[in-house]
Amino acid sequence: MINISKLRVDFISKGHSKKIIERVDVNVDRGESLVVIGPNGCGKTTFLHTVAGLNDSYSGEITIEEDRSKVALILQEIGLLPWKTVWKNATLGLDLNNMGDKSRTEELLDRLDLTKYRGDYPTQLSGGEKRKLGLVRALSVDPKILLMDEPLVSLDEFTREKLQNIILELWKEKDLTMMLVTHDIEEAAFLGERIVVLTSSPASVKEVVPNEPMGEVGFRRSENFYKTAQRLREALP
Amino acid sequence: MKSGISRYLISLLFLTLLWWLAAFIVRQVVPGPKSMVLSGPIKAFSMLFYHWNAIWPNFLRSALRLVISLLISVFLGATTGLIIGFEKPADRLLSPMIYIAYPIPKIVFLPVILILFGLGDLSRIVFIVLVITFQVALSSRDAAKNISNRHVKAVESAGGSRLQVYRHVVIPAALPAILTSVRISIGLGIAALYLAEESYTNQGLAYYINNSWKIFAYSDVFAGILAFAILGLGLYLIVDLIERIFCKWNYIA
Repeated sequence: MINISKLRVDFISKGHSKKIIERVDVNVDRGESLVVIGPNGCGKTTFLHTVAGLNDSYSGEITIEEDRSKVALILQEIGLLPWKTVWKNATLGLDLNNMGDKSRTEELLDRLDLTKYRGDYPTQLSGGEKRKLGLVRALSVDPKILLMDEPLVSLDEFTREKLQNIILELWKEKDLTMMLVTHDIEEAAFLGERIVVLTSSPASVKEVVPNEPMGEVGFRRSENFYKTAQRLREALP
Repeated sequence: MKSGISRYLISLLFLTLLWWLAAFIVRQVVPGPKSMVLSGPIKAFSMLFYHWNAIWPNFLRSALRLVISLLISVFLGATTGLIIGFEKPADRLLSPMIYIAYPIPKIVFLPVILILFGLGDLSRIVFIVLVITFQVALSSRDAAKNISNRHVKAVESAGGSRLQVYRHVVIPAALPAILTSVRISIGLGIAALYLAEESYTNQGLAYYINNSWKIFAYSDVFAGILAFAILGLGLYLIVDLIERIFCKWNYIA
């Protein structure tokens, strides 16, 4: 579904070239949930933005076997537009692509308890509600591939777990192919079928940790979950 | 709403009192007929009321010249300002031109404009547009420069085109700054309007005021000044209303 080979990214600033990504080779299968984990500042966000098509200056190959309109991205800062209401933010992707059917948005808002905020503005929402709205906006366009950059960063533990459960449910139910970038070990162990561990900057693949038994909310309390988390702790630089 | 109206009434009362006090002092200190030069508020308000039929056509003409100039300036200034602020090559190319042209006192061009565009409304409008457009362009440019990249990325990553980025991000994000520049433009515009209406015209509030000076009708001069204040206040209230409607998000605590 997503094939990335020999990906290398250099940023040129004021005449100096800085290597951000040394080399990353990753494949994501259809319906798979792949998590990319790495220390802060290792180039995870650049990696995801490059895959999402927001950065053109790279070498190597990125192939996505799906129409671009079927790829949704959730940014780390969410990027909700403060001048649009909750509803208008939720339907942004549909409006941009002239997709008329908004029933999916209605259903998602309802499911994530956001319907009562329809006419409100993003500044009136809590951190968790903003993240949920980001999720609704991304899923409204009925994507096949969902790319997420630290989608639950800076949330309290309780809200984060609740939203991880929602992401897991939606992934299974909507048959999504997911690629999630995080620096949170437990998030990676809970949401990743395979977990790619990146080195410190410039990023390259250090290790790929399989995590097959995931997929149920109860996995969080299982022995395998702790084993995966432990393995990630050891693998991380 | 009620408290808004009472705030305006209190301000009006306070300014009127200050004015009355100033006129009273001038009458006590300055000897002879010269003391009449600063007309008191009661006389001015009553002249505004009694001579409204004479003032009204002048008010309408001035208002029309100012509003048309404001609309043209906002369109030209905001469009160029937003493009300069948002597109780096345009910024590099055009910002120096604005910096060079902006500080030149536009009044020096008034005779040229009167010769080129004739003595009708067009020349007055061209002059006012010349005075205020740069200021709108600079404010819009700065607002566009400060637009958060995450909002742009949100639209781009959802498949938005450049034009859609302008529609969904650049314009709404810059709108409060543009409206602030419109408020400044109202003050600047009225000053420019006064200069533009001083000569070679037979209608407009500045014409009315100048004419009243010539015949020593001091109370009429101040009635004209009051009409200018009403014009400005009306325009400020309209801009506030537009902001309340289109920038609702900015009013949420």
